[in-house]
Amino acid sequence: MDQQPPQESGATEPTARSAAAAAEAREESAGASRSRRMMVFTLAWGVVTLVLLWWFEQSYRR
Amino acid sequence: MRTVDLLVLVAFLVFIVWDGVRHGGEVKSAKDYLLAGRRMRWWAMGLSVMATQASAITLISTTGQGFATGMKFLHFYLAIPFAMVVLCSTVVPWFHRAGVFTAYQWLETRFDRSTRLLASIAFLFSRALAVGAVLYAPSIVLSIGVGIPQWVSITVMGLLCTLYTAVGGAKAVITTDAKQMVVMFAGIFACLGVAWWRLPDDVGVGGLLNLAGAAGKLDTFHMPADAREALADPYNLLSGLLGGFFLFLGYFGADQEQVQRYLAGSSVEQSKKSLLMSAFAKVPMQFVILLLGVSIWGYFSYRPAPAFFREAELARALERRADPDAAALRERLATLRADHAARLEERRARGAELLAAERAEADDATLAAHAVALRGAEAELANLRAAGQALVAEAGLPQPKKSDQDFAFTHFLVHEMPIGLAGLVLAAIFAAAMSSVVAPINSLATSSVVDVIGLLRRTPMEPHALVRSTRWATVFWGLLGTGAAFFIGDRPIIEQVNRIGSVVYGSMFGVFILGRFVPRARGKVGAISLASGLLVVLAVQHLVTNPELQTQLFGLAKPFKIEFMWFNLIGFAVVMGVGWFLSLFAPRLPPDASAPGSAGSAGSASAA
Repeated sequence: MDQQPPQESGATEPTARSAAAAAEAREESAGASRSRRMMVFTLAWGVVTLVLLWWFEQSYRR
Repeated sequence: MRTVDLLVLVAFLVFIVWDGVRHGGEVKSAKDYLLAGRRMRWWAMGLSVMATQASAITLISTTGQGFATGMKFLHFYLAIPFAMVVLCSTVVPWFHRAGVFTAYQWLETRFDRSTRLLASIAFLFSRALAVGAVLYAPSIVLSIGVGIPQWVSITVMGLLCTLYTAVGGAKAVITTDAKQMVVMFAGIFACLGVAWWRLPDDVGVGGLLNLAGAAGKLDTFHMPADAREALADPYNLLSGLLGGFFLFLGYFGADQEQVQRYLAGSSVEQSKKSLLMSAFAKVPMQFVILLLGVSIWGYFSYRPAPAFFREAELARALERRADPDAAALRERLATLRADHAARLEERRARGAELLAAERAEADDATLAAHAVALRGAEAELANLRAAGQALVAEAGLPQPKKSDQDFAFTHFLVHEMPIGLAGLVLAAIFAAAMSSVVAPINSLATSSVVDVIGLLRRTPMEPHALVRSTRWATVFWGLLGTGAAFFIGDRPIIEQVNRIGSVVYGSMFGVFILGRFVPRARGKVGAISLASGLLVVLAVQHLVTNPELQTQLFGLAKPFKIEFMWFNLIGFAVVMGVGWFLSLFAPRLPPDASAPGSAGSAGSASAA
């Protein structure tokens, strides 16, 4: 009596798959967003490095 | 060399070999052996990427550059953060998602077998010589500067590297590289600490920086006056930021020795982070190494210093000779020593005047006048070093062309480092050399088996056969490199190895970008474009190294020169131009047909 009808089992499978796909998409989107932030930060670091080196050079130039 | 220092070095070597070999037992599949199971964390890969790039010559010659010319060499690295961002947005996710063992497998999924084969052969050719050169170059300095016979350092490093790379595969390479990088940092900071600690109290680190700044050794940025200077001088802002940008795109994006390090990441994000680590750490690291060279320069302003670093070796060689030429050379050496003592005293006096003026907060004009006087005294000392090197050549000592500044670091190590710490610094030199030997051996073996043998076979290779073949290929490339190091001798081949890299990698990176962004370029277009890029760069290199040819062809009175880092940009541009032009004649494709294929189509093996 507690057996699940076959059609119900068939109906939950796509639901689980789509939930997993949605979770994967969310994770991918979060990863992409993290990557973008890291890269912007790296570009900023490249510029900061140049500025710091220029400041260091100027501080001791006679 | 003192016993304690020797023991430190031996303990380091034993630990590294044990650490590499123990990973042999973890190899269960081709993915384990070739890509460390794709389970590596970003920091280990990041350290490995940095260690692969930093050879012993980087450590020895860069400190020499700092000693002689100051911080100008830093131009070379300025573009790294920008290049790494481009790589993290392009090839890192492409290679990772394709599940390939080598970068060149990706080319087959996008173009055809001939493109992959040409790219892998170009890589094998460019890197095959590098193993021998990377072993040979530090052995000269270790032999002359430290007294370790050349055959000992070449054999020990070559055989140990071959052993643990063959047994442990990529994981052995990455984990030992990471530890070797830590030892390198420890050695550098130990030297910096000793150099700063032993400065006179009235000078200190602040005084050292003031003196170095006044002597022009902290000048970092140089803007070229015109295009000719920008192309001919490797150390200016334009060649550093633009030429260097394409140099690093090619080196980190198309050279399997680097690609294989970051392909071992457990995810695309881990691989990206490993490259971004270099983006953050490489310029500061090179800054510190150059600052060490500058500090050694300042240190020898206040300690007993030789007129030139091979002075004692020359004196010993001349004492053993009884011919009249030797007597004349001895006399010239004595005069040079006396001159040096007087000039060094003069530089100290000029330095003391400058520091006194700094303390008295003198105006800019006074400080500038003191700086001019200091630079004059420094120029006299540089002339004496050049005269010393000329004596070395006249006396017939080995390696007469080896620049005297290359012995600054080893002289400091042997004569100034305390017992035990000298062993650590020696271990750092070996670490730097070994970490840049294992990566090429590992990647040469991988590419020769996966790309070349894999493509020539009709049937796909079984995973265990792939591991076995790559192990033997590692032994082959390791022994070949070690053997080659004995035959390189004093030939210009070392310089050529670096140049060959630049001939190849710009074009190779171009074909990856072509594959992704020019959808209609496919099939043989990849191989034709790549071959065109390689041929044009080879022709340009031949032209710029032959002034007579330039005069014959163009009637130029003043021949032009193009530094090797620009070759990457030229190769890249030619590949993109030729590829785009040829693609105009190709039929249009359906929108999704140009996407790179899956790992399943990546030839004989895949890491997916």
